Amino acid sequence: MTNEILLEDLYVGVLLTLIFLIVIRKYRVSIWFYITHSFLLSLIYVWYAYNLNNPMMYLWFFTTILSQVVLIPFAPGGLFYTVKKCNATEVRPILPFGVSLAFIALLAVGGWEFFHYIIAAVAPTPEAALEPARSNLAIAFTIFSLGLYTLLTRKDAVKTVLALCIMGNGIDVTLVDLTPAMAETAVLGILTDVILSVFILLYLSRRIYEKFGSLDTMKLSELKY
Amino acid sequence: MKEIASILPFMLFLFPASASLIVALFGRKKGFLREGISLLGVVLSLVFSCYFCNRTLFNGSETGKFTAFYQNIFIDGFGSLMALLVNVILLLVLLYSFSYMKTLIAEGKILNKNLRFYYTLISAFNATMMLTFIANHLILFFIAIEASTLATAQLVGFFRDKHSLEAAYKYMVLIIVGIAFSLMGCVLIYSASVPHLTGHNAVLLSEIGRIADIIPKNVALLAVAFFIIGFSAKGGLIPFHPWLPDAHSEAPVPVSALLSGLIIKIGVYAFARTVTVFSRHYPVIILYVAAVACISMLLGILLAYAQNDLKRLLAASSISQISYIFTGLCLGSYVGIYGGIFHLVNHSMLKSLLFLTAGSLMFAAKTRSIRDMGGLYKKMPITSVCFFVGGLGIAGMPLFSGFHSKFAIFAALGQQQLWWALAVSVLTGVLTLSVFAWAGSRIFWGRPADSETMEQIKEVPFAMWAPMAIVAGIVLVIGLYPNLIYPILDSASQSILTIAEGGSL
Repeated sequence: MTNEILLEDLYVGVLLTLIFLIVIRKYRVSIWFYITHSFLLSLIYVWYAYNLNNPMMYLWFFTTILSQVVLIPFAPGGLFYTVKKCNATEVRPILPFGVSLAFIALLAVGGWEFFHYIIAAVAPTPEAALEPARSNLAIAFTIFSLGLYTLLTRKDAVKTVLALCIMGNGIDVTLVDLTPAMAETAVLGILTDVILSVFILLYLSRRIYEKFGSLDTMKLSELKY
Repeated sequence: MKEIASILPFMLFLFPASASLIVALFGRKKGFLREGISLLGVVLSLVFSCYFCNRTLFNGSETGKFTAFYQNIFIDGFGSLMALLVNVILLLVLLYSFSYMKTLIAEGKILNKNLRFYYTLISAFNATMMLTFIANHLILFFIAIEASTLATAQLVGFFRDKHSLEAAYKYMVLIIVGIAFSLMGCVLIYSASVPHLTGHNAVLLSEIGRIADIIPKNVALLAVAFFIIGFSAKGGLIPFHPWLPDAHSEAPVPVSALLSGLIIKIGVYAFARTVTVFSRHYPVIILYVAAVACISMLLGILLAYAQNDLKRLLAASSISQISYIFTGLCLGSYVGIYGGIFHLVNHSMLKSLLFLTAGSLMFAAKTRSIRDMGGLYKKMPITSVCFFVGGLGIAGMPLFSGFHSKFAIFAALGQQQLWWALAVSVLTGVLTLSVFAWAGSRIFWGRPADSETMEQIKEVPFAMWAPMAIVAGIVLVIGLYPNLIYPILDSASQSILTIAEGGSL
């Protein structure tokens, strides 16, 4: 029983860090929240590995730590490197801070409840509709939706990359939940793809900052119909 | 149908991948280690794709499918056809690049050292395309599609100026977001099929047909919705189209030809492997895709009317033409799939041809603006003939290859009694014809804005017009004798249907 409470705490931690990661405009703070968020997610995989006796999950744990917690933020060309070269603060988003916070919190809680409720419609197998897979699937879809929300409402290039990472995390949780027996090569392939796409996007963002003097993606409007 | 266990399909991927590695490591100077190796990679890959076409498409009762690595790798008729198409076009584009890139260096637009990067990425792109066509494992399939996006993003932003960076950024973000959705779809399908298929088979593309109507309906429709979002983003359907005109207009000309000729076809290939299989069981998918494709078709060609930039005009027309292919494939019937594949082949050739002619016009006239060009018919006769072959072919005029493929799609739409879609498709065909007639008459017979510059224009060098003439020749031959290509298209359509009907690999 204690174990289940631990898992629930992890879920709450994941969602809370996610909310702060999205609304905070100071890049460095936001990236630290992202690191915490990813670390908590990887702890969920450890919980799975330990409680459901599935050693494959340790691979997920290690790859998440390696990619999301170490490489993407700290490697040369990564998040910290990029924000050092560019501004310290995100471009003003479409919604003001208060409204944004309220909206995201609502989306996080509402999304969690909603996906929990309609699980029968989205669970591909009968087992997936039972706990703990049910909560895990609900959290995965919630993270994915929040990532999509971030992508649609923020106009900052670095935040866009973070939004893509968040969506990626949501998909990772779904993968862990639904396809625990995935081959190692597939896990590593997805990991490589994600890291490469993040680094290419960050590279483009730095070049855009050099040429346009801003990370505002709305300013990318020289090409018109 | 025979199943042949062989690792030969893997060679399709291995040669270009090695070529890419060698060029990246040693391709500092011009010569064999750069241009030569990249050409060799494509040629070897082409030889193997010819071999597979022969074995999987023409062999009658001996026709087979190749599988390797516990069926994680496979190639059937459709895959072979795509591999052949990609390699032929890539070879021509590569030949065209050799002289085109030389002029870019002479003009000071790029440096000689940039070319190592260019040829590395072209070979890497070829490798990822081949991996897409031989992948049978759902996740590997996704990885290959995403990798092809990553390989081309830097090619789109090759010039590193404001415009090309903007185009590359839009291209990356739109497609990566779309493709993320399709991964979600892959995961759902995979996990839903675990209880119904034994062990490893659950994750194979070739087994989707068996479980399409067994897995829960909600999950199937949700996964298909994710697939449609993902693959239509890659294919450039509305509302994901904004990357297309930008990327096409800002990339170097050979890359534009690749984007329109090949990259958007990956979206179509993935669509045919997944959504087509489900659309046979859920008619709502047909209705939805046909509606989106019709909107896309019409808006794409209307967008083309608003363009003055020749490359943007061609890109906008690609949005419209790719919608025809999606329409054909979503129907799930033999005629629809046949028309879709035929149009896919036609569009690849015609659009590559048109982009190469656009490149030649830009090379000679030093402008992309249609209104600034004029009276070029006498100056550039070969280019003008090639342009009209491309334009009339795309518009689907009789005697040109586009006519046969579009007619098959119209027939398939009529068969399913989707009259509104048929009406929109025919209307779009007429509009396409008028757009190309306008652009062609303006460029080749119109009065130029600056007649002095236009006076000095000459036909492009042999190395640039020869690839165009070859493609134009193929297009004309197929238009006059469609029977030549029919057996290949028939086998390719059958191989999609076999999987869709749940036939074993």
